[in-house]
Amino acid sequence: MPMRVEHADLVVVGAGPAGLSAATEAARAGVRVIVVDESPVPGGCLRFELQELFGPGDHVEWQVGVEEAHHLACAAEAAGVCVIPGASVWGIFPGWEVYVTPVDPASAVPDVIRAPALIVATGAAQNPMVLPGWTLPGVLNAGAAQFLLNVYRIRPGTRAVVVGIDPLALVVARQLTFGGVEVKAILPPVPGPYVIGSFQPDAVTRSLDGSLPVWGIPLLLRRAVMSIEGRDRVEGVRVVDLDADGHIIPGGEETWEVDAAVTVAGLFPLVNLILSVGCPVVHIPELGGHVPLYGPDLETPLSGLFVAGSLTGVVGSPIAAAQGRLAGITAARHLGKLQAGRAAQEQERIRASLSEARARAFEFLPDADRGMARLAGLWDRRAT
Amino acid sequence: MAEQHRVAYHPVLGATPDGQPISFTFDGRDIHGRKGDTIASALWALGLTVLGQGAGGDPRGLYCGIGHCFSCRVTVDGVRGVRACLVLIRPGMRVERCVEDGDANAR
Amino acid sequence: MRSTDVAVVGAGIIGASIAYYLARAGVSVVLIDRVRAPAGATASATSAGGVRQQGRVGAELPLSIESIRMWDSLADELEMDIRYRRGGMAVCTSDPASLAGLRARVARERSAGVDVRFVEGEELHRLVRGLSSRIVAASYCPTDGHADPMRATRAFSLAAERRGARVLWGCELRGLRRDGARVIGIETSQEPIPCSTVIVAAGAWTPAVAEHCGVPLPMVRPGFIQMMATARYPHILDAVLGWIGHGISLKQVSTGGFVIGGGWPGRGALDRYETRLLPGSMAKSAATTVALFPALAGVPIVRAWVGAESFCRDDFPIISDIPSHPGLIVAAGFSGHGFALAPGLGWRMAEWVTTGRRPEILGGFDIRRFQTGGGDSWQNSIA
Repeated sequence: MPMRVEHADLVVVGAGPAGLSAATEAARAGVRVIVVDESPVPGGCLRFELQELFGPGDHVEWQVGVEEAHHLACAAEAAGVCVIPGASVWGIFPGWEVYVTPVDPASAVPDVIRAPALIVATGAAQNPMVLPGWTLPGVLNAGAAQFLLNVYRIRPGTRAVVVGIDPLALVVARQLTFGGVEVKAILPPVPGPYVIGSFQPDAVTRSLDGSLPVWGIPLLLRRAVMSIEGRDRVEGVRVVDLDADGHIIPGGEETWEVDAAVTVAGLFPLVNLILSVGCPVVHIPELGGHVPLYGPDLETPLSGLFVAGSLTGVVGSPIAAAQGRLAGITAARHLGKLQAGRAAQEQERIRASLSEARARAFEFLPDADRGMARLAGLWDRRAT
Repeated sequence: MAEQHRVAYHPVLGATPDGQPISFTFDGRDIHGRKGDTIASALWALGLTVLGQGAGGDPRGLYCGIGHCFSCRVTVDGVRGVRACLVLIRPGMRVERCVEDGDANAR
Repeated sequence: MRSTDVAVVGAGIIGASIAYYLARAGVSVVLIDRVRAPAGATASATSAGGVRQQGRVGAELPLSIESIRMWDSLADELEMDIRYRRGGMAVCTSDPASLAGLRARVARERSAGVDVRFVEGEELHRLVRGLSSRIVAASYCPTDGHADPMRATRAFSLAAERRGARVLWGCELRGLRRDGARVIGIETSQEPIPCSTVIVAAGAWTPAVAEHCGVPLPMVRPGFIQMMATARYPHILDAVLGWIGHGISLKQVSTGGFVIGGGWPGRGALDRYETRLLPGSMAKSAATTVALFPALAGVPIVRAWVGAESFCRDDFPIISDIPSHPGLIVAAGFSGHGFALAPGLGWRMAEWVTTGRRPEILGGFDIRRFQTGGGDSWQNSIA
């Protein structure tokens, strides 16, 4: 069977805010761009976001991810970018040769896309929270819960717990209540060797007892989820008491009846694909885990390979989009489509706005600055 | 079958539009979802959360929602291993639970 | 310092098996590996896991017959489920011109004691359901089978430890210590290990390790082999399948997936433990698989990987002492068909070390076969 081969100047893997922004920027410079993404609708994880923006006085505005994503996709289309949804990249080989397979078996996608430049913007995924019962239907990580609620308008259940305490847990808990779900509590999981997100007590939290109501939802610091129960689906969670140091107090076990458990255990960059291309990858916990090695203009040690978005270290969508624009310019410059002086100007402008945005933005990772500094050091010392 | 889990009205997003109904089958049963639903969302709206069975007999379904974990894999029109969270429903689509064999000699 | 009799360099299936049987025989063993075995880019991690007697030539034939007998009770011996399945093996052909040769091979193997027979037509298609109609005949051995190479390799090193062997991960051989010509120990990246025998079973890295010992092995070269595995599927295939002239090996493992091998090429760089898939090679091997067993059309491939194997010029392993370095033994160059031989080889190696005499069954693997002309300086005369 003959293979369907497409050609472009630039392939972008990932149609999230980073990938779409990169594609649009490059296309405006005259680059022929093809973007591929596994999802049926472009926008990546931006689509499930629902963010509150506080304005002057009591003014509250909501940023609806689905709409933001739609704008980005339209801008890409207007710039002449070809976006191929429902396409899974299973291998990338030098050249670049990007091998693709359809996610929906009834769809047709190209078999191979060849391009001299490649931007990998595969984003980040949520860490699993491995508790007994974590594979039961009804257990969702925070991203899946947000997708159901904010994109498909579906309640994950009628009565839920949010397991894990971080800013995202509070956001998800609130979004659950918007969907009409009763959130019994936000509480940590018990500590354990495979559990990410168990509660780390500190001076402040040790002094807090009982529960804090957050938007009317109890935030518990002295109780933890030990296991998720149910036969065919989530039917309940077993909860234990914790002392001020986060240790289990025996004897206080209780079962709560819930039909959904949303776990929140942090995010990590999805480096599988870029690893398989041969890009060096470094472990920087302050950025979420393993990240590709990249320089200030989002170039990697491999010629013609660039990165953007949460793949480079977990970031919010505005920063991902700015990074995308930077990577798009860098790629266009590499392809000779942008005159060097003009490109350098654009890159500097975006880099400046990026540092500003980082200073202001809601950071998923509090020590990201330190992580970025370490990465910059590794980039400077890389073997050339 | 009633869409027991569909949110009719959202305080920020407003009323959920009705959406064009799309019929497909799940393990031979007639299912109605809405245009724009994925297989996973259409089924979840109806409270159908068990999408398959793992090798140990354990029930499994949607977990990560972004196509990363493969826990939501189903058989679509005879093709195994299709991620329900990433595939939009199509009229006449035949979806079946994926029941996996464990140790062949144990059967 | 603890006293060691034998240092085994390389904890892949061969080295780990040797270490186990030595330890079981009461020999004081240290097993070292540069990384943590079985490591990704190695032959043990890339083996198709075939455990067969048929298709063996020369000195491999008696060793494989002996080894297969041992596989039957290996899980109990090593106290781990290594997923050994004895579902038979059918080496198939679609070419009528090959039938005479196939019958002759079967006759030869039968007379050597292998339980193999020639099957064709309806009988074959009843025996192995799902075979393409192109397949006209096969040599079928009901006692051939397969096992999980990662588990088996790990099972051997764990069992060796339980029997008293010391296992050192992240330990690289740096040099040999000698008293005159006689080996008295090894230098490593960790501690020096005084010992009277050193067995190098480092797979594709053997020539490099041997170089550190001052022993050139020009007849051993690395080759990169590519494997693929499919998603789980209901159980439909018991036998391991091969296809003469098409270089494919296909089996369905106990967890349901199909494993596709057959010597398809990949690429890699040994020193960096780097490997690279070749999409053309993957496509051809997938197409060949479907041509042999049509039920697999459309079954997703979930994993593909490449590892380095050591190939010997004449396609037979070197299991031999090194004449210029008494005390040094090399066990490498298995050329893609060493997995099944591991238990038998390990057991016979223990016999060699404990009795001081090389068992006859290993005689055919002597490195001296590469000698051209006579004399002691075998290295200088290796072609």
